[in-house]
Amino acid sequence: MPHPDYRYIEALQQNNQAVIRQMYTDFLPRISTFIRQNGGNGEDARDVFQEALITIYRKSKADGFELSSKFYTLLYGVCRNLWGNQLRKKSRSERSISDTHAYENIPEAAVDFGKMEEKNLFWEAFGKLGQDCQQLLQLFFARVKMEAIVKQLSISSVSYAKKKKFKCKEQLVRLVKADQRFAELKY
Amino acid sequence: MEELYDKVESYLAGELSPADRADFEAQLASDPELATEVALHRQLQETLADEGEWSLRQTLQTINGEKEGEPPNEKGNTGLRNLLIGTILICGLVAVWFFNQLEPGEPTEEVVPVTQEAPDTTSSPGELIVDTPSVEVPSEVPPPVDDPPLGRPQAQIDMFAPNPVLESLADSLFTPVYDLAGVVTLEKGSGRQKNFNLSGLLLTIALPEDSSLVWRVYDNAPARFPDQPLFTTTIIPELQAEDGNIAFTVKKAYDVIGEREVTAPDGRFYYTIALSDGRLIGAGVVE
Repeated sequence: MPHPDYRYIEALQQNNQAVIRQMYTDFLPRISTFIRQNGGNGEDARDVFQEALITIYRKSKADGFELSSKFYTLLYGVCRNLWGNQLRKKSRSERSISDTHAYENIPEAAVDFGKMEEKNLFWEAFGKLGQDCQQLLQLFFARVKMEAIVKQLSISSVSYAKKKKFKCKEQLVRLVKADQRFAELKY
Repeated sequence: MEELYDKVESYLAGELSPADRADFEAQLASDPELATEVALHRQLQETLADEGEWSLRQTLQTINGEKEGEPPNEKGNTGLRNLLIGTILICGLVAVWFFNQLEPGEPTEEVVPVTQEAPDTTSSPGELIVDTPSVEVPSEVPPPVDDPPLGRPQAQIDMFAPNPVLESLADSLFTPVYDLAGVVTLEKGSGRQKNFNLSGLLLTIALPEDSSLVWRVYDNAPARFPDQPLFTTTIIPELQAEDGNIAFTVKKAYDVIGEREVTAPDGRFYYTIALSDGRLIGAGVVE
């Protein structure tokens, strides 16, 4: 029997804007209080909140994901880990975190920071592409055949689509490589 | 450049012919920059294929952008100003909500494209698929040395003698593009029951979709290698869950696990692991 709070997970997976907005209303104030109590401001709170929702979305897509606690417990845990990472980056000394309530460390809230940085880098580069490139590349990455892509996007021919796909991907790769974070990620 | 991209994409999709694939992998083994490029393409594919994440990111950006109108809740703000801005925001949210209700049945996601490659649902990673053995497991112990009838000597077959061909293979096999570190152990059961256990780790830049490996175990008889293994089994490599701060690794790690029980006389055994196209990537003595 899935946890009643699973509806929040579904909202993230289905991009249910109404429920997501409700999550901002219901949960952001408490997260904001937490962030402010730990050296951050309102903007930091919004950034962490956004990052946490994306992180939880990704976790929910992994095999074997189960929501075994309240959604807010998971959200708080993830926000805490994200903010802790931010604090570590800003100052070399380990800054202890003061919690707004009795904090229960759940392993599901763990964050893979390396993966997160990599995905953020890719999505930000993707976001800088024109919409036509974005549409084309998303279908291509989802392994849709060129013939189907041509129909869906009303492109004149497969050969033109292939050329366009190459140009878009080349631009994407260039944007990724130009980003400072790319050099930091590379092995 | 376009040709390179096409080649990389074909390689990652498992579409290259065996000869072209072997060529490309030879290039990968000797060119670290190319290997990194392939890994980048692989990661881009994996990340950006998720339409759901893109939609979510766009939604969150929109909402965040609206929220930025909120003043920071620091000391000194007049309550009245907060109330006014709060009211405007609530009106804005209600308006958006209202507008959303008006839009006729709009799908929240982009229309799923017409053709999609069907995911392979026939097996899940890690599942051991047992092939029927390609040969009958020898059920008879080789004839014991008897008093030779008619004075003719019978050849003594030493089941523990090393097989030079397999020994040499075990020592010299080197496949950097499919870097397999594995071990096969033997547990003896009752009678002539033999339980073979394969445990290995495969490091490789990209395993094309639906890849499987073939695990064979041989006894030491020269005549029986390579066509008469004790058994043949298909192994599906299982991608290890990625953890820690390792991002953008050039190689991915796969668990290669298998177990098989057969009846066979005691002796020295060997194993081989091959790609589905027949190329050997691992060989060794069973411990």
